[in-house]
Amino acid sequence: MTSISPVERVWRYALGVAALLAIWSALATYYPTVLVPSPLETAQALAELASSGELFRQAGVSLARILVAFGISVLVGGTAGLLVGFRPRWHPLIQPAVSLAMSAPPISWLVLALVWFGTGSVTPIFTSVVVSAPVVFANVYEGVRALDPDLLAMARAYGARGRTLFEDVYLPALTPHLFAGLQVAASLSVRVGIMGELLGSDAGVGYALALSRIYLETPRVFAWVLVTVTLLALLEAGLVRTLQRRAEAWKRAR
Amino acid sequence: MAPADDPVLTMRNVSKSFPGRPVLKDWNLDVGEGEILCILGPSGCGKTTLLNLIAGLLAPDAGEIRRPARLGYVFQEPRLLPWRTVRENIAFGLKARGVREEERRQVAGRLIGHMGLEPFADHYPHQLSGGMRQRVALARALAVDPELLLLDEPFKSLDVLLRLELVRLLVEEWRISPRPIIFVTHEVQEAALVAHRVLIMRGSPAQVAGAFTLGRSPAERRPEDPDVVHFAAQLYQELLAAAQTRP
Repeated sequence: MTSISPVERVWRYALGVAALLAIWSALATYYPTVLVPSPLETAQALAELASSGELFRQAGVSLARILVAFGISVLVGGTAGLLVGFRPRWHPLIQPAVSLAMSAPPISWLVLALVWFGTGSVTPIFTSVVVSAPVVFANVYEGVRALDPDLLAMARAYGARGRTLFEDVYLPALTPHLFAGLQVAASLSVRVGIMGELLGSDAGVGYALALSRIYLETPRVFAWVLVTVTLLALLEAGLVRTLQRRAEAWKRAR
Repeated sequence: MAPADDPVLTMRNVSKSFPGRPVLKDWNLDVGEGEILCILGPSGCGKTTLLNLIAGLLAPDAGEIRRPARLGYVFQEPRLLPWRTVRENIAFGLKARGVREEERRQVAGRLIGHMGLEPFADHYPHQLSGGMRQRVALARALAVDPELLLLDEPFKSLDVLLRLELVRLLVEEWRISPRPIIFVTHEVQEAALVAHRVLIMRGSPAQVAGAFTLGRSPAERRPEDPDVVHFAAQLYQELLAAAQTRP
């Protein structure tokens, strides 16, 4: 397989985006605005939302909820993954719950959350956590099971315990698995969180999306979708990838 | 140097078996102050198990082991932390013992000098050759100022010249601070060069097929000395005999 240079890569990305915009524009000329608004109309809607402050208000609400949900998922899933990883006898006890959480469609958790918590912040956060935490758990658990026994024996021979053992041995060894889980959990937190707001909240990007749809303000619907994509990019590329690059800086030493 | 009155390590009637395979039965061993003990034997005769018992990585089924508190252990593979630099890897044992950062840097710096690792101090293991990695592993073991140094065929995968170079480094370190060493090896030449006493193991459960000594100090021996060559030849014969006559 031949690899391409970073510069060429960027060019090709730009080309891909341009192709997408071209197809979008073409469709928009054939269909009325209420079905497919043009990129320009979408940009105008976005600008209106930004100048009225609506965009940042709703995006702020969603981002806060997403971060809380992501944080809880990482904490709960990560801790459970570590605990069960070191005690494999617990795994069959906890796996049914994990399978249930992962295999039931997210929308069914949302319906239950609506029944239990009504509309508000808890419903989208709860739904996000139920869907994302098992992913973090599964990855961290796999990581613990895959720890190199030779390296652990070395650490034991030198008497490493507690913080040294965690910081110098476990955590760096788990990094690849952990970040694989965080990538998926980040994207799930955003997508399920917005879905939760759409059906079960009175604020946030998902709520604004639903409202725009009801009023047939399709340019705004498109604008909110772009906001959702931006939130996902912020969390995934901005937070998770940056942390991963830092944690794995040693791999790039030449 | 014979086992002293007050040995650094004692094993009394130690037994260990893995499912379906007895490895050691009623095993006794004393290692004295400053003694270099070599253990030779065919593959799979329990040499690594013996070291793991001594290091406390395995618990004996029966018997008693008295070991010093500070151990250095060099494994067959370097077993370095891939995400830590040479300096940090060397200091790992010290960090595990709660030694402060300043002192860790000092000790690691000194060993980096002794081992000729200066150009690589801030490199990561994947940037080093196999010989350099094993040098780091040896430095990590020496950094804790071990009361007993365990070496499990540490130079196995290296070529002859590199191996002799590392053996020379080891003996040089021992001359400066003569701590007891248990050196498991396949190589009769290595054993003849460094050992006060050589034990040849064989069988399952393992028995001592013979114990051999060379009086002259390891610090004065050279590979081409007649007594070293003769000792190596003797060990080779004994090892061969041990491998052929399985009890």
